Amino acid sequence: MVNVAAVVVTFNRLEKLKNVIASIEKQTLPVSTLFVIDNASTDATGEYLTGLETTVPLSVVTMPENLGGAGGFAEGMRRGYASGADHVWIMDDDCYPEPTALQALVRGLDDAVAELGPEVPFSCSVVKFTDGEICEMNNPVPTWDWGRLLVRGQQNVMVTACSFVSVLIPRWAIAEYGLPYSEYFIWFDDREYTLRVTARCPGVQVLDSTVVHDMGDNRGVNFSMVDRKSLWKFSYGVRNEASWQLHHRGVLYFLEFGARLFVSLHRGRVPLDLRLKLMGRWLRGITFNPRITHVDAS
Amino acid sequence: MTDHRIHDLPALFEIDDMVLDGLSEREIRLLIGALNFHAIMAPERELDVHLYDGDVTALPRLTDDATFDGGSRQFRHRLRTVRMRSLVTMDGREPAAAEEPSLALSAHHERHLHISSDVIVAQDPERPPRTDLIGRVARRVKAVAPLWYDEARDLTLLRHRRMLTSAARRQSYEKQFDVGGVDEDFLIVPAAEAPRGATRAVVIGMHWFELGGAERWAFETVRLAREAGLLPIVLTDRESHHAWIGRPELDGALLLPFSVPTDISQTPGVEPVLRTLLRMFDIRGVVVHHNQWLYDRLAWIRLSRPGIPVVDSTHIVEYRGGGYPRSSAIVSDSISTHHVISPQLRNWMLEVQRIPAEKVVMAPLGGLTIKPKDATFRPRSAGEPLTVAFIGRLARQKAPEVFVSLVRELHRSGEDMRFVMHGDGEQSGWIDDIIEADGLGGVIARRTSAVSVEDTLDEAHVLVIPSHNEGLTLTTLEAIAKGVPVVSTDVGAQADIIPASALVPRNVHRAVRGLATVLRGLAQDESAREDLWRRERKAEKKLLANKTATDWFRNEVATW
Repeated sequence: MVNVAAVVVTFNRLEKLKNVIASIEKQTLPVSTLFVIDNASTDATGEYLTGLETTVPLSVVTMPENLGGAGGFAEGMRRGYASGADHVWIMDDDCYPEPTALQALVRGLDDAVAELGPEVPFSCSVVKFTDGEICEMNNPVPTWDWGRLLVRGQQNVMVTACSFVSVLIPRWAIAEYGLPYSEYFIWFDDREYTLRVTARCPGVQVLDSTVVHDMGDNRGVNFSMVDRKSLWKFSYGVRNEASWQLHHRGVLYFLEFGARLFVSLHRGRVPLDLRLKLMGRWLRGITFNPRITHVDAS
Repeated sequence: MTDHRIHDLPALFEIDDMVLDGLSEREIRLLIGALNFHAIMAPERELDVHLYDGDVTALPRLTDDATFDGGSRQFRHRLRTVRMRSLVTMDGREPAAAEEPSLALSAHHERHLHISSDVIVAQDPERPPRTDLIGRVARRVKAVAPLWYDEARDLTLLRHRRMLTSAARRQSYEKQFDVGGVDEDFLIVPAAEAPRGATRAVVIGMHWFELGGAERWAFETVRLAREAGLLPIVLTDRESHHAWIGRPELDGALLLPFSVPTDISQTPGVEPVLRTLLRMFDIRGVVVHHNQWLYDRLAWIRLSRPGIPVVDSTHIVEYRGGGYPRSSAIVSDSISTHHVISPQLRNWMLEVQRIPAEKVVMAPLGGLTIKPKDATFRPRSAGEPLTVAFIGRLARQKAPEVFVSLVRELHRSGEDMRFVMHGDGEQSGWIDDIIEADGLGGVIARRTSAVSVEDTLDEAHVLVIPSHNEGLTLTTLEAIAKGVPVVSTDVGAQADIIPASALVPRNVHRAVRGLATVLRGLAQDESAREDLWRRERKAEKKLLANKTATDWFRNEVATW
């Protein structure tokens, strides 16, 4: 029997987290363990989790400090792997999976393996917004031949990258490709990781596995939208992507990314001081180059 | 508690018998061995044990620290999960602060094991050569100039020379725990007494459960211990697929095949596994066969059980650092008897390591596979070419490249000889390269270990031992017993059997020249060949006139 560990990373979103946990409890395919990674929340999350009883085995991991989504997912995946789970199912604390979401993800992965071979590195869900529309910022990147499995009767679209909102990752992929870069802290960790694990074979988006992403405002993101409030997130995003472009693709991609960033900031009429700060973060990507951490790292 | 058996082996745990269905004898014993270890580390607890598969490169994961927390990339595919219950009782002792990491590791509710399957083990592991430029150049150089490669290696070994000619500094175990010592963060906590009436047992540390002369002897000691009415508790510390764990000598033994590291789980000075064994069983003695893990803990055992005999057995002084005889000398204060298998090694222990003569027992292994009494010389038929054989693993120690160079030398000078090369091993790829580079593909008859050694000896007229290093080779004794004389490099204890006229220097270039000269002489003079065999047989008889290792250990263990 397949054995799936669910991983939810949370920070100060207790009410949404309660919904997430309830959604996981309702899965038609029960998880073997639910790992809740509390990123040192400062609201009542800690107290709530301390007394929580769930219908599935629960393991609460309280981080000593907020390591961002990237650090939380890295820790959760390590824990899920160490629990002996066949697959680790990861999601944010505002992601509500439909009751059959997990069952469909497992079946979708198995179907894809049957056609593509054993190296299919993940399956991910269709992410809807609370109004039933597609979630703008959680659309996977399809391959050029994305419909190959569809025409064979599967509910799978082949993809190379997705966000960490309901992704099922088999343990072999974690053993082989390692954990997400916790140093990224936030933004681009999911993109980098899914691109990393699809080096040899694409993943799949399973069309009948759906989750609702309760993210407040259903907008995509681009660099023209930077303001003072969101600067901190964009700073991580720029640094992380610049690092990835330079150290994993090449200097021309790094320069192209810098040019794209520059133009986007200009078109968005972003205040000059913010532009300067973000271009500085782009340069920071030159020296920022974390190493992959594997499950056997002490 | 200690009488529980699974698959007719002592087991310190309970498990559903169905778990063993479909497993081979080797797989069952590996699993039982690993679960014994984890039963000791989790007394009175139930554990979920995940079993993973692996490819031919993945050695079993049985007891190492990652088997507690799952932190190994080797655990890629889970096969199934089984539940076990430890039958080991708690010792009721208040743990020391230094044991916290070990206790945290043991606190996990799951264990993660890889028991390599027989199907995988039967595959010959690929040894792909390096394909980068340096790798290709190195491979080419090694193929066309193997002896110069050996010379370069010998140069690098010179730095170990002092290890072979000077006495090892003795271990001061208790000082290791003093301030500034390597174990200053830990405390020595000797084991509790075993209860009255506990099963009498002996702890036997082996290298691994694999093929080899030293292992044959180690298995023999397990058999003798059981014959003496003691429960053999057999542990190994070298990672392996343990192809020989199913041997009958291990029937009824409590098995503990280790995978390493165990640094976190086995707290220095506390030694959770050993202390539990000492608490559960009436340990009457300890035997060490090439097991560094146990060497490192002999002092602790002696502190816990001062009176018990501790015997070790060593065979060969390694050029690189001295090997196990030097390890043995380092902890000699914790050893009551050093058993050695050759006069040469006895001299080294006495003269170089200054171990008191009364502590060193020389008893050869001759009785294990050979019966020299009835041996007769096997003459060569008229006109039959001299058949020259090499028998051994294709491994560095056995110097198969020297044999190939010798064949090239003799073939070039037009000698009418046959050449047989019998064996396989990690250097088979290199040997293939050399044979191809020398154009000797049709000259050397190759045989794998699937052919019996006896068959090859039945054809051979001379056995060549070109080794870089040896103890006293069993194949030498076996060849003489089959009427075949032996020529050899002057290494280890070969001089105890082989006369100077058939010994050549160890240096590879001189060895090839010397062996060629001796073989040319033997090819031309059948009486010289017979005379060599008679002198070797005489020396062998003299050596075997000593009490054999088997006889000595049978008497020894009977007093335990």
